[in-house]
Amino acid sequence: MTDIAFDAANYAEFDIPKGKIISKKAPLVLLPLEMLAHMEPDEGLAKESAKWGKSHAQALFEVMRAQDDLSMDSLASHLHGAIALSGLGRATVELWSDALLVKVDTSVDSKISSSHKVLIEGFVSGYISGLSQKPFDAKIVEETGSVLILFVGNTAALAFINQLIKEGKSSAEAVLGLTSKGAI
Amino acid sequence: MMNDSVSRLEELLDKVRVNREVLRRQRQQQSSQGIISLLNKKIAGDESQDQLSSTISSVIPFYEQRHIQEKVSKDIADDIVDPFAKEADSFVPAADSFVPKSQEPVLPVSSSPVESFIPEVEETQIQGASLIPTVESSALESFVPEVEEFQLKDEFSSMSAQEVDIPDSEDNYSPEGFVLASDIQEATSLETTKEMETLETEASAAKILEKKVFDKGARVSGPIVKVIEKEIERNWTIRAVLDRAWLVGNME
Repeated sequence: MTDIAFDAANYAEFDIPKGKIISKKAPLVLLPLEMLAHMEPDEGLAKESAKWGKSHAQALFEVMRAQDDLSMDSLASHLHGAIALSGLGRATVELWSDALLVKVDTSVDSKISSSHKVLIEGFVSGYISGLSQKPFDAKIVEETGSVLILFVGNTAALAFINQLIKEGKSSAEAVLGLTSKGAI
Repeated sequence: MMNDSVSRLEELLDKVRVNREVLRRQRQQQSSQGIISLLNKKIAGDESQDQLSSTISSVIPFYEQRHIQEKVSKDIADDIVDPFAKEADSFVPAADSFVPKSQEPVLPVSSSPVESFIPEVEETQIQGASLIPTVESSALESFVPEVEEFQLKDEFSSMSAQEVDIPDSEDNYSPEGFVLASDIQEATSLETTKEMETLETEASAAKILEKKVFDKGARVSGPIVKVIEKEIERNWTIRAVLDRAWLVGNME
């Protein structure tokens, strides 16, 4: 299996005379994290975050298509790189049986804002969707300090997990609930 | 001319050889006759002991030198070589000390230093014994609370993941993040271990099969999670993993 390392070179350039941050993905604006907390964590933010994540997955998707397939190490490397360059944290890919989960350590000292969480959820779902060409959804199922654990799967599975969590189950129990249904 | 000279020289050499042999025999004969004469005089009481010894000594180099050499060699062989040969068997068991049994070491020490040495040792032992109660009463008792204090001060169990220095470098990536149940070891992150122990407890009633971690963003110096059950052989390419993940919970 081929492993392609993430390359952060030339990700963005600061054009001082024009007052622009130039990126291959999209024009950027550098803002303090605190300002994100004042954004509305609505569906619009989720959609734009997904598009942002999907644009980051495009490069890896092209490599996958050219080389048939890549190892999961490549996914871990590129996802972590993309999330890190966006200042969202350190990402780790986990597989619980067939279930795909992404752990993001935001390294935020204060409480993580709702808009921040929506941004991360949207980014991860867009990234995996762009890579798989399937409409993956990503939702936070556990939060411990600055660490978020996201379940990444289809909408039905997410709905089932959310239902179990509302019933008071832990995230682990909720994911395992899919096993009890025989889905894993 | 040359041949005549050589022949003449050879004749002279032969004469010298003959003369030397005749002379040697004559001297032997004279020596033997002298000894016999001296012995006769000694028996008759006409010769002193000193004269006899002196005469015999002067004769020995010409008459019995070879015999004496042979005798000396034999004596040496009997006195030196043979004793070692006899002790060869007993030497092997005494290999530790390298002292033959027949050659018991004789210490060139008089009885008085040895006797004075023994009480000195006994005195040392008594002093050593007297030290033990001192250690038990003071040093050991104070040492035990010191260990307990150290254990109480150990705050490692409350250390969070942020306090552990994990450099964000791909160069430090280790595939050890790939964990199998058979490789369960102590986690490097106690917080993660605690989380996973909770997960493991929660999972005991259910059937999560394995947990696989792909972490290219951090150094993984050891297993960072515990795997609940041995990993199933699978295809771990991105496409295969995402295809399976897409089917999780899909009841259609």
